[in-house]
Order: sequence, then C-alpha cells, then structure tokens
Amino acid sequence: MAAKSLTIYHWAAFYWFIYVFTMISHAQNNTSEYHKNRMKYIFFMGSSSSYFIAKVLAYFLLSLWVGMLAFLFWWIMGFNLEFNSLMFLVLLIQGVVVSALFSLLSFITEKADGNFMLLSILALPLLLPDLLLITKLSRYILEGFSLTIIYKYTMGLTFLAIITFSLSYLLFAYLWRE
Amino acid sequence: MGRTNQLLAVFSFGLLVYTIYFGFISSVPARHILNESIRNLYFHVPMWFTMFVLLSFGLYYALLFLIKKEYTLDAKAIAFNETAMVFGVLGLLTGMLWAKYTWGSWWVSDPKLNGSAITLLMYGAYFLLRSSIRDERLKARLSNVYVVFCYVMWIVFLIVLPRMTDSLHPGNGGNPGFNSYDLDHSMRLVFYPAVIGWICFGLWISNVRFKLSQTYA
Repeated sequence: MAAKSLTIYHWAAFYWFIYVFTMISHAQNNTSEYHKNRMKYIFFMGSSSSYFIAKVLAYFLLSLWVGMLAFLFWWIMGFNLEFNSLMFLVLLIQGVVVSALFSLLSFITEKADGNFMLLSILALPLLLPDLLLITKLSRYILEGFSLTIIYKYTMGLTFLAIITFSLSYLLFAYLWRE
Repeated sequence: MGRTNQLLAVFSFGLLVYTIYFGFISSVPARHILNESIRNLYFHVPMWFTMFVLLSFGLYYALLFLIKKEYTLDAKAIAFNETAMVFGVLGLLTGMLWAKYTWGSWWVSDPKLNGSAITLLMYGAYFLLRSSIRDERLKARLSNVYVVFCYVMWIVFLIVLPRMTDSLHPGNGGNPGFNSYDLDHSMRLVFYPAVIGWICFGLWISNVRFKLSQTYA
C-alpha cells in the first residue's frame, strides 16, 4: 500500500496547531514569571481596561512573531507554497482572537494559581472551532479557491474576532480586584 | 418556591408520561429512510431545547452574581449548568442513536455534531476550573466570568456556524427541518408537550439541586 502524501489541508492544520500551542506555552510563562509584588503595583497604578489593552497588544505582537516562526516550519520541511498577503491578513485577524482570549484566560489561571495545565484546558475548547474554521480557510487560500468563498470565511473569522475581543474586554473588568 | 416547585414536578411528570406514551403510539408521517426514526423528534430535540433554557438560566444567574456578588446566585448558576450538561449528554446520545440508523454511523464530522461536543468540553472545562480552586469567593468570581464566555461561544458554534456552512443535520445547511414533514400537524400534538414537559422537568431538577447545595453547604 502506498503511503499517503500530506495534502495542503494537513500543512495548514500543522501550521495553526504549532501556532496555538506555542501561544499557549508563551501565555503560561508570561504570568508565572512575575514578581509577587508586581501585580500589586499594577493594581495600584493602572485600570483594568488599560491593563487589558496592554496585554492584548503584547500578545498580538507575540502572535505575529509566532506566526512567522511557524511559517519557518513549512520552509524547513520543504513545503513550497508562498505565504501570501491573504494568509497574512488571516494571521492578523487570528492574532486578535488569540490575544484577546489569552489575555482573559491567562489572568484567570494566574488568579487560580493552579497547575500549568489549566490554561490549555480552558483555552482549547474555546479555540477548537476557531482552529477548524481557520484551517479550512487557509487551505482555501493556499489552494487558490475563488475569492467569494474566502471572503465568506474571512467575514466569519472577523465576526469571531469582534465577539472574542469585546467579550474579553467587558468581562475583564469583573476579574479586576475584589 | 417550594409550592411552585412541587407543581412544576407534577405538571412535568404528567406531560412526560403523555409524551412518552404517545411518542411511541401515535401515527407519524411515513418517510423514506427516516421511517419510524422520525419519532426521535419527540426525544432528541426537547433535550437540546431544555439544555438551551437551563444554560440561559445559568447565564442569567452568573451575570446577576457578577453584578450583585451574592453567593447564593453562584450556587444557582452551577445548579442550572450542571443539570443542563446532563441534558446535553442525553441529547448527544439520542442523536447518535438516530444517526446510526439514518446516516449509518454513530458519529460524522459535521459542524453541528462537533459544535455540540465542543459545548460539552467547554462546560467540562468550567467544572474543572471550579474544582481546581479552593477559595469559594475566588472560585465563584473566576468561574462565572468563564461561563459567560462559554455561553456566547456555544451560541456561536452550535446555532450560528452550522447554519452558515454545510451540515447534514436537519434544519441546518439548507436541509429541511422535521416541521416540513408534519403535514397534518399531528406531530405537534406530541412535540410541543414534550418540549414543555422536559423544560419543566429540567427546571425542577435544577431547583432541587440548588436546594440540596444550600442544605449541605
């Protein structure tokens, strides 16, 4: 029986799974390395919304960096399809989803000061449908499907990004201080 | 509270006896492939409606808790969410049984089915979050924030997304729902009481669970 070769769908799935798991491990490290008085200082100085926006910006820049690193995986493994501007647009929108979600969830896990598994347990169910959607979308982009289909899925992703960001922003205020 | 709860129990019990009896006895439209499995409408669909109603109550109490910070509201939220998950699992099982005889497989990779499985996973994570925090106040605050997020996400994944994309599930992705097969409205005579009966049953169980949690607290 001939070995099945990897399709573009597999490569897209690899890409996004590397991306998400790298982001999860970064989000875990970020909170656990804080000095214990540092949060007190931030509580004293800042407001919940400014802290949240700062967190989202940091995670957003990180997500772009991680997205580029995950692209290196393709390059090293010899997958020769270009990372075009549409993929970059998807990476930007996905960055908003992931950074808003992790800003909220890493704060929850930090407060719960539980084990390191908690963040991935909380984040993965919320991210799975997003991962399915984005894997399909990036496959359509890489295989050169018509723009109408890509537009439909991109709109879906944008909708998801708006919901995730606004919800995390609103709920973050309730996590802030007693 | 106690009196209405008893009435709720009696009312739902009567309706459920009626729906289970007539669900198996009453005549249904004869359809190719579906055949008698169309009766699953009386058992599968009410489970999800009940889950929807109970989770909405859970959301309501979670939001109320976040605003008022009263810990009985948190106990109510968890009671509703736990009962809702039992109905979710039952809905999944009845759906799988139906899928085996009409689609020929217990499980297919479909947006609707994946969405329902992910919904159960999300609420599983919520219960895990609750069990991993010892401090009651912190537990209530964090888990209620998380459950509000879960609620909005499951509405998107289970109700919005399957209607946008292709789905095998009746009523989604351009498929006709079962209401279009019900030409003489005879199925509604059983379906509506079934929905009302299961919802009242779910509300009763949740209230009992809430009271139990208050007794042994």
